[in-house]
Formats: sequence, C-alpha cells, structure tokens
Amino acid sequence: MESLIFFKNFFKAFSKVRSLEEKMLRIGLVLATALILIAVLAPYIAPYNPIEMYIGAPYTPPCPQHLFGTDSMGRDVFSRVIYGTRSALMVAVISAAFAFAIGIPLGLISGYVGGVFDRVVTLIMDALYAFPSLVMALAIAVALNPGGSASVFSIILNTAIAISVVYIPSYFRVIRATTLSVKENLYVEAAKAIGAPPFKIVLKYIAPNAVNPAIPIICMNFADAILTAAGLSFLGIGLPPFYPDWGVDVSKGWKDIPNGVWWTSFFPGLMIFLATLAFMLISDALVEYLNPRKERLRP
Amino acid sequence: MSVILSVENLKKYFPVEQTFLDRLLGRRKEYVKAVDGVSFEIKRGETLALVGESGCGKTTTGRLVVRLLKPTGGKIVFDGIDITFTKESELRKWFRRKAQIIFQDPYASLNPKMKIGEAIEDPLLIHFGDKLSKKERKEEVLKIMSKVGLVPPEYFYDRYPHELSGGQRQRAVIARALVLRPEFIVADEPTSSLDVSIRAQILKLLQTLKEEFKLTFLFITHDLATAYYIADRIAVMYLGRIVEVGDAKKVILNPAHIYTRALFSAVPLPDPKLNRSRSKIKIRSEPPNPINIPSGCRFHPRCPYAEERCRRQNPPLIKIDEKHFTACWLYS
Repeated sequence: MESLIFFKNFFKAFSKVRSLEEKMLRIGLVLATALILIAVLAPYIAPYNPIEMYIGAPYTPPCPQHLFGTDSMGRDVFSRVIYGTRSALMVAVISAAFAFAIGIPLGLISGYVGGVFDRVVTLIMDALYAFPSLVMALAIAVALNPGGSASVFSIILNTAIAISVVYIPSYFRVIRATTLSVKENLYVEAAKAIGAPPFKIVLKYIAPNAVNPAIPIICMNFADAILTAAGLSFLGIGLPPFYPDWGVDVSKGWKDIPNGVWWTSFFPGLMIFLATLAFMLISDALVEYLNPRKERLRP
Repeated sequence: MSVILSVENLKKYFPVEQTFLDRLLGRRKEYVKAVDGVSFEIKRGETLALVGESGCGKTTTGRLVVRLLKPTGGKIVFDGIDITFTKESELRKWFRRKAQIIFQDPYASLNPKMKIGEAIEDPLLIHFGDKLSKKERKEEVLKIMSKVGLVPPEYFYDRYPHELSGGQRQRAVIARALVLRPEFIVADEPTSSLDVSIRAQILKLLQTLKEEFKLTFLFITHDLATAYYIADRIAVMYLGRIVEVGDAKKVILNPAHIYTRALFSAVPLPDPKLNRSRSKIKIRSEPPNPINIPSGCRFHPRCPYAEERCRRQNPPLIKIDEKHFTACWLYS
C-alpha cells in the first residue's frame, strides 16, 4: 500500500511542474520522504521479523508470500530491505553531515587565512586522502568501537564518524581551491573596505560563492557511506551480521548470483541506488536553487 | 581648510615571484616599484585627481591611502592620525567608517549572492548593528538608494547585482560607500568601465553627492577631460612618482612637465584640422619596466629635451607658479 502512495506521488511530481530543476527537486524530495517514512514505519510495513531464520524455505524466489524472496537462511528479503533503510539512512546522513560540517569550514578558513595554518592543515588532509579509504575507516572504527556489547546505535554512529573522516579531505580540497579563487574577487576587497571582520568576510562574501562545488560530493559521500558501512560489517567491525542492512545484504548476496539467486543482492542494491538518487537529485537541485541567476524555484 | 589626508614619500614595492631556478642560482629578489616616493595633501572638501597612464601606480596609491594594501615605506596621515602601519582590527574601529573606496569595475565589486539592499545595508550592520534596528537600517538604505538615483528604491532593494545594468551597479556601489557617511572617498576610475552615455551621469552624481555630503575625493582616472571636469587639483603620475601637481585649470591650460604635455598631445581633438595643425610632443617607446627604473629623472629615456643632468639627478618638485609644481630640471 505504501508503495502505491509512493508511485502516485512520484508521478504527481512529473505532472504539475515546469522546470527541470523543479522536477529533480520534487522527485528527490518524494524519494527521500518515502525512504524516511519506510525507516520510521518499518515495523508496520515489514510482514516478517527481519532476523528470524527459516520463515520460508532458503532461496525462495520472489512470490506473493515473500515479495523479494528469501535468502540463504530463509529470512524474508523484503522485511530485511525495509528494516535496512534505518541503518543505511542513519550512517549516510550522519557521515555526510559530519564530513560537511568539518570539511567545509576547515577548507574556507584554510583557504582564506593561508600561510602556515593552511600548509599544516593541507598536509594533514593530504595524508588522510592518501590513505586507502576502507583501511582508514577500519582503523578509526576499531579505535572508536569499545568492542563487545556496544549498542547498535553507537556502532552506527562510530561507523558514520569513521566514514566521515575519510570524506573530510574531499570537501576540504574542493572548498579550499574555490576559496582561493573566490577571495581574489573585488567584492571581497570591497568587504574589507567597508570594515567587515574576517569571519564575516568568509561567512557572507566567500562561503556563498564557494560551497556549490562541494554539494555534489554529498551524494557521492552518501552512496559510498552505505557501501563502506557494508564493507566494515563484512569485516566484522560494523554492524552485527544478523542485523538488517542493505550494504551487508548486498555484500553477502552477490555470491548467490552465479547460482541464479539474484534477488538477495538485487533488492538491497536497488534501495542503495534509490537512496543515492534521491540525495543526488536534491543536492543538484540545491545547487541550482542557491544560484540567484536562475529563476527562483517554487518549492 | 584643514588637511584631511597627507601622504609623505609613500612607497609600495611588490616582490616579483621567483622561479625555483632563480632561487637555486641565488638571483637577487626583484621588486616592482609600483609607488616610489609619492607625496601629496588633500584638503577637506577638495577633489584631487590622480592622472597617469596604466601601470603608473595610481590605483596602487588609491588602495594604499585607504589601507587595503600595506605600504612598504612612507607616511599616511588621515585626519591627524598616522595610519601607515595601523593594524586592520584598529582600522575597523574608526577609519573604515570615514574612508571608502569605489572601484573601477562595478560588475566585480558586488557580491553576486547578495541582494542590492543587503549589500548596501552591510556596512551599517557592521558598524551600527547594535544601535540601529532592522527597520531603521532599511530606511537608511532606501534613503541613500534614492539619493544615488536607484529609484524606486523599493524595487532595487530586492534585486541581485546581475539584474542591474553597469550604471545601476555603479550607483549601488556608490550607495554602499556613502551609507556610512564617510568623509573621504577614493574613486578608482569609477566611470572608465561604463558606457560613455552613462559616464557623464555618474560624474554629475558624484559632484552632487560631494556637495551634499561634504565629501573629499581622491579621484583616480586616466582621462584628462574627466579630471578637468571633476577636480580642484590635478596630480600627474609617471612610473610611481608625481611629476606635476597643481590647480586643475593651471595643469590643463598650462601644462609644464614634458610628460604632461605629451599626454595632452595624445588627446584627440574633435576638429581634425585643429588636431593636425597643433604642435604635438611625441615621446619615444613604451614606459620603462618598473622593476628597473631609470636613473635620475625617470622620464629621461623618453624625453626629447633630456640633458646630462636628467640622467644623473632626480628632480624635486619645483614651484613654477602659485599652486603649481613640477618635477623637471627645465624649470630650475
């Protein structure tokens, strides 16, 4: 039933709107809202307990009882996908927010201040960037996880922080580079001439003209976060193996494909795709929205 | 009339970026001597025009006196206070409110992400944010907008810079400079990137505003007609130095320095007959590289009257008439 409303909204987004950006924004928002609803209402949507084994025969193909089939241990894939939305969204959103909130101010300050501070920060960021991302995330996740009896939420939070550390340099480098060019503009000098203090120059005159290139990184970060989280779970650092999570299910499920069992990895994979798409559409529309040269969107 | 700004022997040297090879070979670091010993005074309520060809250091001088650049040497005294090496945080407390600058390019001097109203309001927010309420600030902004001719101000208040024409943008830039009621304004070629038809309007506007707000201008331009129109006094710059300074009328009608005369010869006259028949002074080649400034009088390699002394000694500013000085040995 939920999916019915979802599709209705989806097509509504197509019919009433005018500009391309507006369509993108609408579809993105509809997808994101649907995902959040799915995450919140998971217990009401999912027909079975996602971690209960042998609900159906192992490897049952999609059928009316098991919409998305069952996996190697007879767990209902549909229920797992529904519940998996929770951890995936949390990891993705928290890690993107962390990386954005640290990488962008750091890039702005470093680019504007320059000098020794800039050198030191850039060096640290380059060192982080040079590290293989999964190894890096792994090291941080191990360092953060107290081990043993941690709650699932604290594991998710730690995983998100680990992934965000990997992504901070990406935001930092892009923002620092644009800051360096934006700060040469005459209007920045004019801001200095009217007596604007440095933090105000950065906040009001540089940041609005420098952050746009970082927004597309969010969607990359978002998709990668889900997969890196899966990688960590796969290595036994992230979520416990029974816990419903798209990444974990994809990374376990793809081994079934040679045996003709496509549904164990396809559906969680599709969800990762949809979640990423939603975020990408929103972030792209946001870039357009932040550009005053374009005619204002009607949200 | 009291002196509002006095500049003494002002210098600004920009280091030339060295390549790695230069540094390896231990080559000496070179400097572009953009401003090299400039002195002048501006009295309250006066307009001084700084004229000269591109690259002579007039824009650098303008930026130095409002302390957007740090001088290499010399002295800048504003309203009796030495501001030559004052820290930016100290300048923000009083100087930035009293001295403003209008840049040449109105397209680049407004933040594209800020509405015109916000841009003009920002100086008020910075300096009087705690004293004026939001409503008072808006009133003030609308008032100044109608003063500079952005009418109706309510319409322009919510526009973005890209929605305005060049002339309108320059008006907005002028409004932003004036909203703090400064005493002194550096106008760095405010009309040269504008269409000729709009130029006169902006010049007239600046004249009107000058009278209304009792402003003092340092007007930087390469256009002699503009300088004559707007200025009380004119200073002619060549290669980082002032070569002639005096009352606008005297400098224009009776130019003394060979370089000034050459500048006038380069101005085309509307009457082709007159243009051909008048005596012209032609100067040789291009201005020299400001890294290697010629010895003695820096104009001598291009001067048709250069003597031996010009090669060796740098001429000081010599008084040739009441309020008319020139740096040329011909008048000694």
